[in-house]
Amino acid sequence: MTAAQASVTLPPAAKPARPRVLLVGTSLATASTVMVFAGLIGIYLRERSLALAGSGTWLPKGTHIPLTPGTISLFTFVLSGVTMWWAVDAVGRNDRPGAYFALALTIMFGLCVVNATTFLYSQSKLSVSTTAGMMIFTITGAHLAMLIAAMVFNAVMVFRTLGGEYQGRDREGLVAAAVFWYATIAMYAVIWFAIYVTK
Amino acid sequence: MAVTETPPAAVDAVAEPAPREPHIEPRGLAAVLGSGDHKVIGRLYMGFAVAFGLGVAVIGVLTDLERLNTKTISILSVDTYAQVLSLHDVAFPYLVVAPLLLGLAFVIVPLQVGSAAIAFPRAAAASFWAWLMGSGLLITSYAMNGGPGGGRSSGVDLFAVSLGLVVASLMLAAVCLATTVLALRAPGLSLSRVPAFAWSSLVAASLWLVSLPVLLATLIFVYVDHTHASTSYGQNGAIASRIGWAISHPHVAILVVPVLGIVGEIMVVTARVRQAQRGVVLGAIAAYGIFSYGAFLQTDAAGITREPLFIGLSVLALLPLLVLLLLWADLFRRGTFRLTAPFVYAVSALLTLVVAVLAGAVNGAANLVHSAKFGPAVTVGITHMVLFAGLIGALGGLHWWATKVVGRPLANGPAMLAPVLMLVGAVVYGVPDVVSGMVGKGTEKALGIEGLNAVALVGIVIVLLGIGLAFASVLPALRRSADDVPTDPWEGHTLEWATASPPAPGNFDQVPEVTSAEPLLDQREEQS
Repeated sequence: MTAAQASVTLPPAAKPARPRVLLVGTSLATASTVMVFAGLIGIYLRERSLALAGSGTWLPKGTHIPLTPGTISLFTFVLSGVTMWWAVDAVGRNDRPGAYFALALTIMFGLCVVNATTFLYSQSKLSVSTTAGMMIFTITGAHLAMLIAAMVFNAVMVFRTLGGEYQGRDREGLVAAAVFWYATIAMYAVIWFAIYVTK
Repeated sequence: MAVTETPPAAVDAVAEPAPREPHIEPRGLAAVLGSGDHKVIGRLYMGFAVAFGLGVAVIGVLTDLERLNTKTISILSVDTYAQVLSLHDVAFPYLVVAPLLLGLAFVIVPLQVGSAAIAFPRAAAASFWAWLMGSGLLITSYAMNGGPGGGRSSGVDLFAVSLGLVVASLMLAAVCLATTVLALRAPGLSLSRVPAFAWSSLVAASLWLVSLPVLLATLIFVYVDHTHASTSYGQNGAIASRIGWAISHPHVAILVVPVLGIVGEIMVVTARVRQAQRGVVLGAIAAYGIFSYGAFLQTDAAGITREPLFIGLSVLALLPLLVLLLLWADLFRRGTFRLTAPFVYAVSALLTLVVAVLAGAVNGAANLVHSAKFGPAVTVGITHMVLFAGLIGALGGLHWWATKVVGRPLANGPAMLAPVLMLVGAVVYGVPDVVSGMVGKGTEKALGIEGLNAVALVGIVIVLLGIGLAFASVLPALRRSADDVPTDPWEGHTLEWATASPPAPGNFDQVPEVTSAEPLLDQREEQS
């Protein structure tokens, strides 16, 4: 008997349940994105501690990072977390108008954070040519990029929900978008404390 | 307004099916360029990794020749030598070994888990093309006097961007691979029943996803600093130390974790028995990966290698390898031994890795004694041996799954010598650096052990002979007719051997049901 003849054929299985591929993939990609921020913030904290141990200062003279816009952004983000949860819950109850409204609110809150961050940039008078400025702009800029990606992801989910793809318990895409959105909020909370509060 | 409140399923039920144009499958180059088929993408990864490997081999020999005697041999200028060495150190892990193993995993893992496709096929294709573009730009950056310590500012910027692109591509590929194992398994194929190679690919992909982002973060800072700030962080001279951890042991060890899966697959099928203590094998593979995690070394703080974490992990990484050695040795006590080329590859890859990890454990333990601080050459030697273990393992995997990857079986005969040469060469190449670092601590010339560089050169020549022999055994097979290729030339245990050779689009006619970790072996035993 040759090896080719020796091969066996397995019986077919029952049709598998719909795998949650998008949710698993999004969770992995989110974990990876969180690690990017772990790297960025870790490097930032180390450079800051070295600077403080050396010259005793971190932020250049004449610069000031106001706490108000950052804190308002944080609470706006917290609200967006509530609306994101509302959207997922609304689709679960087949309340489609409620889902559209909640997703639109979530995206709007995201835009508010973009607005507040650009205002903070204009107020801080921080220059990118210093180590502190370079690192703060890089981290907050990377977070803005994450936020914009999360808003695009949400917008895609709005269109898919409008198209009838998600309803009832079949709402994997929305849950995936929510996972990424919550990670965006969590990263902002870390940035708020590590950069805006402790400066 | 085109918005509908009616779910599409309800619309489909009442709508008449619209007549469609017959779908024409693309052929030739279009079928390759536009393909989302995991087998095509995997082959592309492997093909280009081999091509880059030839370049890395050439510059490796050049730098080894140069360091024989820096006074009398002057093939490259001092600046060029530093940059060529840097290109070699970056390209070997990220342009050769990691994509070679990734390509093999792209082809085989979906077959092993009984999936018709890889998860996110378009993202998988995008990962390859972005990696290829990043690799090309990386080489270009060095060619235009860039890279760490490069003299041309735009070249240094390009280096940061291109390596960032390579790293981001590998992360995207890791997401596709890990999702395939986690979410696209055949019914009945629980994670505890997943084949060793699929499991090791999942472990590797997961570790890549938590370590490569740290490298990406570093490169983002380097790029922004170099282009906009020009502070001390992104200075040309500082870049090499910022990314040094990512091209050294122990970080490179997580790139080669799939080798343990390849070895496990080959061992168990070659011995013709079931793997005893399967859970321990899977656990040991995962433990080796976790103990090799080295992203925390990103900080270039002095004395980090004296931290208990570094020392502990260096020593602990040896334990899972020893457990695997014992469990795989037990296979041949219980099973029927048969000598095949993939088996020789597997043993060679495993021994190379064991020697490397043993040296790593000694290096780590030496940090307990303050006076025994070794030179950086130790890490260079260990890194090379780990990467060669990855190369030998990947070539062994290619030989083992050749009917699925290239659609033809490879001959056993001369190919058996190739891994032995590579094993000997890798050890002869790596050990002199380890000895040099342990004894010389940067003063090799004063101690009269500079001659070890000549031994290392002999080692790299032996490795290249082995690689040449390995490819010499592949080329005749490619010229052979692709008719009547055996589906299962090794009497395998896992699902990939139930598909045609080469696998057809969609891989399986029907989704198979799995009731154990060795479904094909079960069937064979029932039939006999």
